[in-house]
Amino acid sequence: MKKFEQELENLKRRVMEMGQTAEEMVALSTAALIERDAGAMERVLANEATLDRFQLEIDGEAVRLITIYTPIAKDLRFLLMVARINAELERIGDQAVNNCEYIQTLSSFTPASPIGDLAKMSDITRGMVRDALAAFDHEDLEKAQLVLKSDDEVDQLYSQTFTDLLEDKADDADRVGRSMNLILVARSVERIADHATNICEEVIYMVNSEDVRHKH
Amino acid sequence: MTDDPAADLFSIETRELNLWYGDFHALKKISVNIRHGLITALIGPSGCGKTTFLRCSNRLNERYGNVRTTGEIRILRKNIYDPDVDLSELRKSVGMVFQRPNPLPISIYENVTFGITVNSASRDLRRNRLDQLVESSLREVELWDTVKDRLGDRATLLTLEQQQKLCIARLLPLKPQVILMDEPCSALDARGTAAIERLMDDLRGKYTILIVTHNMAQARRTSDECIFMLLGELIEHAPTADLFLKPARKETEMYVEGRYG
Repeated sequence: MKKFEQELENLKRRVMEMGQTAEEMVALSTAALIERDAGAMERVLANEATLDRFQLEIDGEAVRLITIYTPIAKDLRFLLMVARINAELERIGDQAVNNCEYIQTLSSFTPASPIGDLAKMSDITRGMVRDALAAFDHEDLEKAQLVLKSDDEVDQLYSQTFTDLLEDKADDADRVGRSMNLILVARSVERIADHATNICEEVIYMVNSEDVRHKH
Repeated sequence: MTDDPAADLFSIETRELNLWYGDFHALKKISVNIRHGLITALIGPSGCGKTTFLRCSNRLNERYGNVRTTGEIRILRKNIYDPDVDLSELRKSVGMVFQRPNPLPISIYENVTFGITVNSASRDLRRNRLDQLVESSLREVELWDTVKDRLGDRATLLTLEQQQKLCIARLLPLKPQVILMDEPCSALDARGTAAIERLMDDLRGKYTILIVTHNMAQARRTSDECIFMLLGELIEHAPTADLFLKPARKETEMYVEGRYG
């Protein structure tokens, strides 16, 4: 393998490691929500610093490789997309942290009715992050397209959750506070799904140069 | 300078190095430290002094008349202008590769052994020792498998890429610490260039390589550190990615952006 190819492969492995950290943060924040797992929350917060370090390192390496090798065609698309995917993963981590903060606040309210759609939405989103990473790793366009479709489902669930929570006409502060926080959690989960979708759009561009943003 | 423990990191150190060709001031107060085991590229427009600087490192400039040098050049901490310096010893430890491959018109085998037989009392060198040196040197430049069955052939029959590899191989029995390369790929096609660049990468860490190149892409690809020279002055010396991404000096920025030169 040529040195440049080896360096690209090493960078890809680092992105995958970063992705696994981000995915773990999403899984942990889901556990924190559904199982009220306080330990999971602490691990999400601890992983945030790791993700930030990954972001700086991967950005620096992508810039270095562009500087040194003046890449073209697919190599250039790969490096440009790595810089974007890197940012998506960092934002996914941020949203997982936000989620934990909302969930922490939520825990001060009375335990309440089943979270229902929100749990389903979190599960789908977590799967989207995992599939987006697999699509990147294996340049799997079919998987990328499936993630794009899943985003529609998450959007619908978000919309439904949002409406359900708004329609909760209870006037006690406890329930309103709970609903507010659940809306914020739902919004964070929906944004994680958007970032996973963005990763897949970036994978599609990386693999076949097709820009599918704003077209599905 | 000799008391500086950091000097152990450097193969080549110059202080206030000046060189004149007659009245022409070709190198102006060059002070630089070149690190062991790395590939350092010298870049700059034609006539900026990079080849002159390279040739100072093994005192090759002295072959020309009317050359005057002041300042200091230390190779492996030894000032190469000290009166007790033996030029042939210096050139054993500082090998040179030129623009055009220049194998001697003798056999491949004799090209590799030429340096060591000239530099040793030949009776000290047994045939099997020479055979080992030829094999290890040719293996190190990835030429052994290609030529092992025709070591007696004239070296000038090899392709240019193979000749340039041979020119690097023939330095190795002398155990050089530093290898100077003056546009080593300028006579080669893209494939030959890629092969020499791969070889340089393999030699990284074992030898200090100082390369002059007009090809900025090659400097970027191959070197760990880069020195930009202009009108006989050293303008900037930095890790290669830094020099091309965030040059500290305006002159460097304009050059790497292709604004002049």
